[in-house]
Amino acid sequence: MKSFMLACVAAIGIAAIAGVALNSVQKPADRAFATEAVRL
Amino acid sequence: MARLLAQARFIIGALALALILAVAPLAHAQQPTVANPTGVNPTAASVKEQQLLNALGNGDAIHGRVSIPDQKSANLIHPAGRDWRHFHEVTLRWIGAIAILGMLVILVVFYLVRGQVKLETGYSGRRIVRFNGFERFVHWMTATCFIILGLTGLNITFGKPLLLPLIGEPAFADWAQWAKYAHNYLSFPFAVGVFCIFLMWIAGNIPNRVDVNWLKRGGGIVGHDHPPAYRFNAGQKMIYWIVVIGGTLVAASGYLLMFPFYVTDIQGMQLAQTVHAIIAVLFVAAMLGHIYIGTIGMEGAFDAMGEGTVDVNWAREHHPLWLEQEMARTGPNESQRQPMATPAE
Amino acid sequence: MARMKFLCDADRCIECNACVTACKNEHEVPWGINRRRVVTINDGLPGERSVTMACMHCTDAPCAAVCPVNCFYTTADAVVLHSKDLCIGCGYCFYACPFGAPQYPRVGNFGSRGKMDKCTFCAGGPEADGTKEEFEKYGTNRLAAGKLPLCAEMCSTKSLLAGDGEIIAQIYKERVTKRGYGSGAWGWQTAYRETIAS
Repeated sequence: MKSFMLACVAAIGIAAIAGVALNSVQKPADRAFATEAVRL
Repeated sequence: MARLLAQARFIIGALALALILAVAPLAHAQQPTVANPTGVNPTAASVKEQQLLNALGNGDAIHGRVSIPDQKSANLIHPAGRDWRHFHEVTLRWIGAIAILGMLVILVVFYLVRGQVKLETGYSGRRIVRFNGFERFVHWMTATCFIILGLTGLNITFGKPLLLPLIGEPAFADWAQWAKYAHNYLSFPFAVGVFCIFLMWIAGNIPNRVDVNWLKRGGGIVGHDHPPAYRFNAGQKMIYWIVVIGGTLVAASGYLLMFPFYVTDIQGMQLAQTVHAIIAVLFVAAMLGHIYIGTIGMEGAFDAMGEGTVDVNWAREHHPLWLEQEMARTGPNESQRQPMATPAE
Repeated sequence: MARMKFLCDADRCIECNACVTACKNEHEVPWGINRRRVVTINDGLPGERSVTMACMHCTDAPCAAVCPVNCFYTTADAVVLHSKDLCIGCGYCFYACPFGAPQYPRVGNFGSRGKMDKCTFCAGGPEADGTKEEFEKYGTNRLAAGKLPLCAEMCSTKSLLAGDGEIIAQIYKERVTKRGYGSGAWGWQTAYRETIAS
């Protein structure tokens, strides 16, 4: 039982870390499809 | 003098206007009444829609130049979406329905005909550790993620025809949105789990002659034989490799989908979705079999992963070669044994 | 009832991008989202052709077919629209669309690509016609005011025609007859399963 509870916690934890990491890398379209000179 | 000049300018201006007005209708009359009087056909040298559609017949995209940074927009038209649409709406649903419902039917029939695989020698009361804490942790993390990934993934394909009519569009869209979040983020612990499973249990899952013999003798589920096996029998080894290979493919294709066009073009994306979907539905069907045998299909089996120990009689009946190895390592006293796999910490 | 279509007369398009600019301005389309674009085939070579492309509002739209949450709908004028409230940003409509019409505000697909945006034939969305909510999500609703899409209205050479399919096909046929050539109605075979004999 304990290993199952730990597994659920770990799953949610890894998922949350991944979510935060990916969202910090996520580029909105206006930045991705623009050159440096553009004033957004 | 000034007045004279002014009058002269006026007269000249009026004459010019009159001349223009007189000539204008003549100029109209000079318009050609035949189409294309010079005989030049600028379209002769250019690409016609039909020619380009013939190129499309080969599956190529028609690619040009655009002045905007998103280079995907330089594709004027690409046909492969049509085939992919048919695959996703028709073919995949058939494959998934047949695989999953088919497996369920097989399991129900099997249970009705063969019944539960019973422990024929009965419980001895003495237990032996089969899976340690770390192994169970990894298994349950992978398994729980698999269940949620499977359900949320099936929702993409089957949600619209099966669930949407029941709960209506706004509720379904909300559920589908959260399902997508869960699917994308739980893929990470799942992938970690599959990788750990691969490393943890590779030693015990290399096929050998004992497996051939086990399969030939029906594996204990076809008939009531008890062919010997080491820690993992041939059926379990099949599940192991399905999980490792299927899990890797599904994760790889899934990550291509999560990073669209980072690595591949649109045909690559369509291929990634196709691979992901087919492997996933077959994976779900296979895991239904695994879940069946590990829960109701076999008496005394669930404990192995549920709390880590199994009855010695169970081990002797189903994995006698493994039991021998364990006894030899620890001696007749089983209570203080070292686990075969990586230590709990 | 009218069956709305777009027709780009590729022999007239001069790549001026007035259609693109008109659309972007009228609907306040954010940077990075390209509802309409001009693609130049064989750039710089003999037979260079420019074609303006946005959503073609297909018969049997593939985007609508593959959407997992069924957020698309077709109006009585055969305009293909969608609901941003229902959209989950999965990106499948882009994989299915032969013309690359769907656009997304986010590049990565972790969780969601954001709400899909595309040409609406200047017909807005499911919100009430002409309201602020409709404008903020989908742009101006010109069709409800009895007007045709602005891209076609602003086309400097009247290359881009928008309106009832029968009428614009007729206009194009007359042009081809009068001038003696025509490279065909681009995309019509894929979008509407029909062609204009030229």
